[in-house]
Amino acid sequence: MSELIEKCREFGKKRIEIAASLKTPEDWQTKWPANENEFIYKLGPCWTHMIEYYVDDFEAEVGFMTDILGFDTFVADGNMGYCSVTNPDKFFYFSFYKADGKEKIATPGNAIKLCLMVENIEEVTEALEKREIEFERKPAPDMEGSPMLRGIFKTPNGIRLELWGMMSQG
Amino acid sequence: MSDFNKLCENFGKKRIETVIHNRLNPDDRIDWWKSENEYPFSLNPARPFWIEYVVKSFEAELGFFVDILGLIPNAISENYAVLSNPKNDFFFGFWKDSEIKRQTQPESITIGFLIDEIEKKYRELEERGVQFFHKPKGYPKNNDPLLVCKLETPNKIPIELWGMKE
Repeated sequence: MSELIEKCREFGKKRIEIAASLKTPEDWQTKWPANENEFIYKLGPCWTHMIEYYVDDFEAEVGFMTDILGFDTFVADGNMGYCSVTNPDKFFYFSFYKADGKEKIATPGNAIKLCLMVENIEEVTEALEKREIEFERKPAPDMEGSPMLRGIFKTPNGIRLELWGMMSQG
Repeated sequence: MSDFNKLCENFGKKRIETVIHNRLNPDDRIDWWKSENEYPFSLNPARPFWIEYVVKSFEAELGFFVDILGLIPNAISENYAVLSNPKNDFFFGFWKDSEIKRQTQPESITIGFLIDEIEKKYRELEERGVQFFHKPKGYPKNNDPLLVCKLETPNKIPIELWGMKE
């Protein structure tokens, strides 16, 4: 594997250098090199991809994802301590296991972020606050004058959920 | 525990108890799925969702996903990248570690894909130099038709490929 990692590092280094030199969308069209290997996977059909993490308070995470955020349940297995949620259009799948302290160690809060890019972010924020969600950071621009807003709140197990969205006009 | 977490726990407890203690027929299950609160998000198609983690060897992670696995960059800079597949079915991103962003411990997460032709794809990836922990094997029993095989990124983040036996 170490030879492959070295190869990956060289590929990555080259791409970071090229990315820094590309200034316009046209540059990206014409100067970004094709991948060394093509994408060969046909995803699906019953699910496509998912991210899994591990929590100590499994029940609270289940309730938060389903009954507070309103995500659809894709799999709920109380015996296994496993739950997978998705959105009604099934674009994404977030899954979590009950941590057992042995093979499944609770994922630290700063290890990952779950991010959604939403429309009407101000309305969504208001709706979530009415559901008693406390924002660690209310949606605000990262840079002065930027119309892109970013807000953060946490699941009961401290996993950060980041909301992105464009500021509404007028 | 905060009042809010207690509220979530009660919701979750009720759901888990329902699943464990009641054999639900399919019609009941439809009711069971209904959330106490409706789904409020209208996602932006440019990049509807993604997850982020943090790696020590940023360049190797980028090269692995783009030039070994064949993913497409959706955003890229010297310390951050978001990748997707050509059809934008999924997105995930990673940061280069720093004082404020500490490396994600590999056992913290798993990234999974359900794919067609898993045995063929396994062989193709091996030809690209990817090392797997094991060949596609039946799950949960060895002779089951649902197969899984595992690999890891250069930063040891686990990836599971799932698929049906050909």
